[in-house]
Amino acid sequence: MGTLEQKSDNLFANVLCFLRSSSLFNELLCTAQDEAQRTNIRITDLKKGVQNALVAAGWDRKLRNAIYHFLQARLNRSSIEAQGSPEQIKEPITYVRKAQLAWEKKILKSLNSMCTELTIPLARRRPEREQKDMMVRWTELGVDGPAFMRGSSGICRGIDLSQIRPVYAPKDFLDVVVGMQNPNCTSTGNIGSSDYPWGLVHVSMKVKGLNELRLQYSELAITQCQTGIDDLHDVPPELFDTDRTRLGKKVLAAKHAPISREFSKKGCPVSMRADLWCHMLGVELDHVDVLYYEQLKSYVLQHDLLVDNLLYKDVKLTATNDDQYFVFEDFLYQILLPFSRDTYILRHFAYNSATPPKSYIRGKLGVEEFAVTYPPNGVIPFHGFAMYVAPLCFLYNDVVQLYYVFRKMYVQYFFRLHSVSSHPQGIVSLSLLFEQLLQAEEPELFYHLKQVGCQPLKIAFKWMMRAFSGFLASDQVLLLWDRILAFDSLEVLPVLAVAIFSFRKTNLMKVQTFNAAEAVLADLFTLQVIPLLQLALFSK
Amino acid sequence: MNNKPLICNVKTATIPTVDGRISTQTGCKIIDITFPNVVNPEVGEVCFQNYYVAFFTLKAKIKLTEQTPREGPNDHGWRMVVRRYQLMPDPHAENGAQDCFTITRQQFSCDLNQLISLRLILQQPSPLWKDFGLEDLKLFKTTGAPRAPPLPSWFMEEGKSKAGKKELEGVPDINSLSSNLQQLWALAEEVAANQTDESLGRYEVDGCYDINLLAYS
Repeated sequence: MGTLEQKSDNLFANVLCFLRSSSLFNELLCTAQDEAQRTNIRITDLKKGVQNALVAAGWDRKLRNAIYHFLQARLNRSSIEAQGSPEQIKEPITYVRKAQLAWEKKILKSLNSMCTELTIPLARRRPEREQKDMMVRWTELGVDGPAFMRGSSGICRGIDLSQIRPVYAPKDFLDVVVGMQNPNCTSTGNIGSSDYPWGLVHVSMKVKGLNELRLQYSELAITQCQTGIDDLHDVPPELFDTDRTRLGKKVLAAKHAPISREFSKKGCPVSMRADLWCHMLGVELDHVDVLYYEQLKSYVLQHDLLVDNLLYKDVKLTATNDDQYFVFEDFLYQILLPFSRDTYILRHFAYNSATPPKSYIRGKLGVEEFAVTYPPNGVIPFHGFAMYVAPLCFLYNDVVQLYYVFRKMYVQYFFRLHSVSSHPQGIVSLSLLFEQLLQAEEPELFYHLKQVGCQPLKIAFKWMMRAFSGFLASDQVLLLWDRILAFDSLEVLPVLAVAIFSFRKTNLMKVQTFNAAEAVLADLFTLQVIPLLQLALFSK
Repeated sequence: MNNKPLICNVKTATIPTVDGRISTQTGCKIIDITFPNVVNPEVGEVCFQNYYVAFFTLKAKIKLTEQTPREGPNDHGWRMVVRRYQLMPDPHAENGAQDCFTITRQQFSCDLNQLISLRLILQQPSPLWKDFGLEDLKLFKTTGAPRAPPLPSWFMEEGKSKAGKKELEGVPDINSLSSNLQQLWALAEEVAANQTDESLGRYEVDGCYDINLLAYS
């Protein structure tokens, strides 16, 4: 038996195992049974008859989608068949693992010291009265905040939010990424091309070159019409828009993830984006999902977490301050608070280099049976976390659907943007890709900025860490995220960052200080994402 | 792993010398393995964790007997088993530098029995790394990789038509009845084995989730 054959056998077995434990399996079985009991099916062609009936009812599409998403998730986890301990599967490189651990410890300490300073617990059960009060205010939490409560005497009390501060900001995380150094790497002498003394990132990971990126993003070529440019009002619709819409309707009807993905590579038309994203992510709601969300909501009511205040503060500092997103404030709480209680998120730590923080129920310190993760989903929000959700609010007006789309996007893409890992999609690789691409494309600009003490990554890092949300106009963010989903890769983020530097080159060449450079790149709201990407990828 | 690793003597890695001088930048290391306490050693699998080795070569010295086909007149029994197996896709980059590898019989170009010794040749052409080597080196007699569970029969016999026909006459006999019952039992077992991994989403312990501080672990 050859290795390949064995591997594919293994794969089949895995797929089958996955399917059997899914609810789809039961549904299929029930439908097949119903079909088999029909009187118009002859016993001789029972198998064929049942199969045909299942196909006619669209079950083959559901099956295909389920298998596609399963395989994609596997691929996402590791490029090769990973071996070794779970720790090694999470992150194979020892010093990267250590960097992540040290970083987590720092976060824990800062969270603990905040608790001690403010003398508030990390989590407590809400009294009955407070629960009821919060339930009433569920759709308008933005007014008074989650920790707020109207006392019996009518006096408002709550935690003083001015004392709550974000646990960390992109700047702090950049320090971690920059500080990473391989102990086995010969110190930065000048050894050929593998040494990059210009940039800030000092790890030698393999990142793609411009040519590889061109191949990967070939659908973005200048010769190809793109949604978001060629369907604007000033372009006659018969050139592109009419055909695109017609094709889009067909794609939507097919409801098949790979087809949606292929179609979305040239951007999603605004009216179809919500559905296309659902197809690409495999989000299909049933009544169980609705119930599950309701349960999460009841968990939010039951317990008061410090993380709620962090999220609340974050929304106040970011989305509420943003003229595009402030209307969604209440919406954001309805997503973020249940998200922090969702233990489904814990599963993604199997392939994330991060580890969820641990704690013990009060008075049971060190007793393993009373060990819990905190927060329940294991994710401690940072300054700007709410911006991962904000652009999605334009797409879905149903909170439950919005919740599941965000959850899927988080466990598939966004978690990589704030954990230290050697994964090619991780923030370290993306930062390196940004620096190398900018050095290769605009060497004089990079050199100039470096000379005046303004490392480009110091500006671009926050863009990438937030996937540009809040930095670009919201419609442009959605066009950008179309490409993340369609190409199933975050590499478009550093490419865009390079494009922005390249686009503002003339002004940047004149700056002499870091602040001046930051000012040149402060306002990106007028930028058009797709032409910029094309500029960076294909203009030279 | 379901079987124990072979007992063997792994010598420390040596750097090959040129004219008696040792250069640290040769990018090559040699590890010799002998089997002092094993009769007729046989190796079916080599497992290790990589540490910045780019290419892995495995050579074996086998006992030459009358039946062994010779390779030329000066055959001392050395056989090439694995030639320049690539562990790091790019020697200059971290990828694969600390991954775990299992090299099994399928990758061997000849069978490893009647062994006298094994020689591992490690190569790292990139000057970027201070050191390189293998960790957790283990040899196994048989392939210990987890076997794939057998595929269900309906998956394999696609298109094959059932030849046997059952005749039903009134009440089925006791044999078929019992076999049916057995099937039912098997089905129940199967269902029990296929529990979904859908969790209930509970995060508290006994309804309690009062926490003061986080634990450092």
